[in-house]
Amino acid sequence: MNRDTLLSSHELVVNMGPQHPATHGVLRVKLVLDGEKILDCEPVIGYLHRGIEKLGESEDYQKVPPHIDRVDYTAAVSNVLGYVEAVEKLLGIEVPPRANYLRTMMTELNRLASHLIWLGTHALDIGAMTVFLYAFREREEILKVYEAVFGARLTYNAFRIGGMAEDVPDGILDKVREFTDYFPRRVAEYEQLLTGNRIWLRRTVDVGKITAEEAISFGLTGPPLRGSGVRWDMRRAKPYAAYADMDFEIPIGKNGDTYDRYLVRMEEMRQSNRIIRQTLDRLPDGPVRAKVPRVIKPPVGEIYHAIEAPKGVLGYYLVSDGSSKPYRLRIRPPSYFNLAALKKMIVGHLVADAVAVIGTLDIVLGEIDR
Amino acid sequence: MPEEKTLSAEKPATVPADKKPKGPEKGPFSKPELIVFIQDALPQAVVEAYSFLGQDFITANKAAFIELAELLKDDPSQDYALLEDLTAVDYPQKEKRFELIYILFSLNRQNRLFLKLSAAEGETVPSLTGLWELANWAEREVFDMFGIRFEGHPDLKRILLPDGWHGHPLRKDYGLEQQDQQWIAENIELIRPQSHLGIPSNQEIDHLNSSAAKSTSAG
Amino acid sequence: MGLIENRFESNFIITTVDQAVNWARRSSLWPMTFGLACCAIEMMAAGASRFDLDRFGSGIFRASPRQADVLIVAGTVTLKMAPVIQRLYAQIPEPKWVISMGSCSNCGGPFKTYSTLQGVDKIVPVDVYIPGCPPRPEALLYGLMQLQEKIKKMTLAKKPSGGPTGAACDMGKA
Repeated sequence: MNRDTLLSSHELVVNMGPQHPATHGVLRVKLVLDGEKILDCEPVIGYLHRGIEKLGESEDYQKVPPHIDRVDYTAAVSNVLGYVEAVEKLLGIEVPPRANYLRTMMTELNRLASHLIWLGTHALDIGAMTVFLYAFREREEILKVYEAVFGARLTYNAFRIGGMAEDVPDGILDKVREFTDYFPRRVAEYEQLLTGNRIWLRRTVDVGKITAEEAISFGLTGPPLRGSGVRWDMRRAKPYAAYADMDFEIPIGKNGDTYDRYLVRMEEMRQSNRIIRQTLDRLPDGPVRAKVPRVIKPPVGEIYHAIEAPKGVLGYYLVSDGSSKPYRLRIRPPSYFNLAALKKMIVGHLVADAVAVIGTLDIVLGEIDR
Repeated sequence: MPEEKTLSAEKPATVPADKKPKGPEKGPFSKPELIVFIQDALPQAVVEAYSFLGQDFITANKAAFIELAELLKDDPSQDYALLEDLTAVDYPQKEKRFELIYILFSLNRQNRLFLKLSAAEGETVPSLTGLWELANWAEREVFDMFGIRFEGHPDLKRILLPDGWHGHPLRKDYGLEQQDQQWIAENIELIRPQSHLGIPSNQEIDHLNSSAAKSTSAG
Repeated sequence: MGLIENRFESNFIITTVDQAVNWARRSSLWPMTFGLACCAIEMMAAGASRFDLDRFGSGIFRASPRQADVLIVAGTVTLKMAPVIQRLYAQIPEPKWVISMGSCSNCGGPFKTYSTLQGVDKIVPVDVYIPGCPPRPEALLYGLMQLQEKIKKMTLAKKPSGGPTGAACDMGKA
C-alpha cells in the first residue's frame, strides 16, 4: 500500500440538514471540512418554499394576513403589522391613535416572544438547556396575553386594515403591566446564567465576526447589523405605528461577534419592556378601527413599507392594479439576507461554531423560503 | 364573507380604467438637484424620475445602470450605502414585460430611493454583485421566480425551487397550482396520488362560480 | 420481536407478552426532531415546561432517525423536502409510527400552491392526524395519547393478512 494514500487527508463534504436539531428549521448547509475546520460552506434553502408571494396575488387584500402570519411564524404580529400598514398607506387611511398604541404594545410583546425563542434555541444549541425552559416559561405568559386579545397562540391574524379587529378585553392590560413588572428580573436571571459564563464566553466571543462595511454590503439588518456597531433601527429611521412617541434606546455592539449580538438582543428585550410600559401608561381612548370600505380596492399604485421586525428590516412591496387582489406582493425577508452572510461568518471556524453562528443570526426558514 | 366569493359573468377580468378608484397621482421628483447631479455625471442614465406617495422613483437606462448604481453608492454626497431590496414585477401586457425594482437606502441621511429597470423576455440585466453582496442571493431569487438572467453573476442558479424544476412561478402565465410533474415523477415516490380531497381552491371556486353564472344567465 | 411475530395463534401467553411489550413501546415513544415550520414552535412549546411531553415518556427528541420511534411531521411538506422525508422515514427502524401534526402535513393546509405537497400521507403512511393551524400543545398531547391507544391494540399473534407490525397493518384483529 502506498504510504501516501495511508496518510493522505482529504477535504470532507458534510451535509448539515435539512433535518438537523440546530438548524432552526429546514436549512441545509453543505460544509467543506478539513478535519474540524470549515473551509467553505454553501447554504441550500427552499425546503419550505410555499409560494406565499404567488398566493398573495390570488387572494383578496384582507385574506392575505393569515398567510403572512406564517412567513415569520415566531413573530407573527410584526409580519401582519407591516402588511396592513402598507395597505393603509395605499388606501390613504389614517389609523386612530388608540389602535396605533395597541399595535405598538402587541408588536413589542411579539419582539419579546421572538427574542425568547431565539434565546432558548440558541442556548440549547450551544448546550444550555435550562435557559430554553426558562425562556419558554416567559413566552407562555406572553402567549396567554395573545390568546386573550387575538384568540390564538402562534399565528394570530392580528390586525385588520384600518386598526384592530376589536378592543382588548377588560383586565388584560393589568396582566400586561404585571408582566412588564417582573420581566426585567427574568432577563437578569438569563444574564446571570449566560453573560459571565466562561463556557458561553468561549463559545461566542470572536465567533462569527463581521465588520460593519461587510454587514452593510450583505444587507444585514436588525441585531446582526447592530452587533457590528451600526446604530440603525427602522423604528427610529422611519417611525411607524406609535414609535415616534416612544422613548427607547438602540443598543449596539462593538466587535460584531456572536457575543455582541447576544448582548444587543438582551438589551433590546429590556428596551421593548420599556416601550410596552410607555404604551400602557399613555394609552389614549377612542375607536380602534378607522372607517374602511367594505371591499378593499386600493387605487393603482405601488408602495414599499418597511418595519423593524425582531429579525431585522421586514419590507413589503405592494403593487396594486385597482382590483381587490394585490398585483404583486413582495416580502423583503430579513433572515434571507442575514443568512447570505453565513459563509463570510463561519469560514475558518470549527464545525461547532457553525451551530453558534446559525443561532446568532436568528433565522426563521419560513421567512427565508416564504 | 359569502358576497365576496360570487363572481357574476358580466364582471370583467380586469377592472376597466374608468372604474378604477381615484387615488394619488404621480408627482414630480422631490429632489431635482439629485437628477441634475446624475445627469452631469452620466447624461443618458435617467429615463424618467417621479414621486409617488412620498417615494422617489428613477427609471434608469440599462446601458449606464451599473455606473449609476456606483455613483449613488460611492459618491459621498449621495451615500446610498445599503441596497435594501431587489425584486421584479411581471407586466405581461407591456412591451418589456419585467420591471426590476432596486431599493436603495442611505443610512446617514435616512432616506430611500427606488430605481427601476425594464427588461424584455430573454433580455439579460447587468448584475450588481460587484457593488453589493446582497445582490447575489436577491438576483438568484429573481432568476428563480421570473427567469431573468443577470450578466456577471458568479453563480446564477435556482435558490428556492429544486434544481431541475421547469418554469418560473411568479410570472403571470404560471398557474398557482401548476406543478412540474416530471420533476415529481423523478424525485418523489408517491404512495397515494395528490388528490385534492374535494376541497377546491379559491381559483377553482371563482371559476366554478363564473361558469355557473354564465350558464344560468344564458339559460 | 421479528422472530416470534406473526407465528403463533393468539393465546394467553401472547396476550400477556403483548401487554408488556405494548406498554413499554407506548410509554417511551421517542420522537425525531422534525419540525418543519410553525407547528415546530408549538411542538417545542409542548416539550417545554408548561405542557411537558416528558411525562409521557416522549420528552427526548432524537436528532438521528436511527434512535427514534415516532416521526412527528410538524409543518408544511414541500416537494423539495419530500424525498428527504422518504429517506428519513426509511431510516427509522421498526416499529415506527408517524404523527401528522397540523393542517399542512394533514392535507396541505392553507398552502395549495405549486411547491407544496398536499399532505404528508402522500409519501409516508400516517397513524394519527392532528388538526389545527397550529394545533395547541394540548392537541399534540391528545394525538400522542391516541397513538398510545393504537399501540395498546398491537399484537404479536398471527394476523390473518400477515405483514409487519407498526403503521400499515391491521391492528390486533387476530
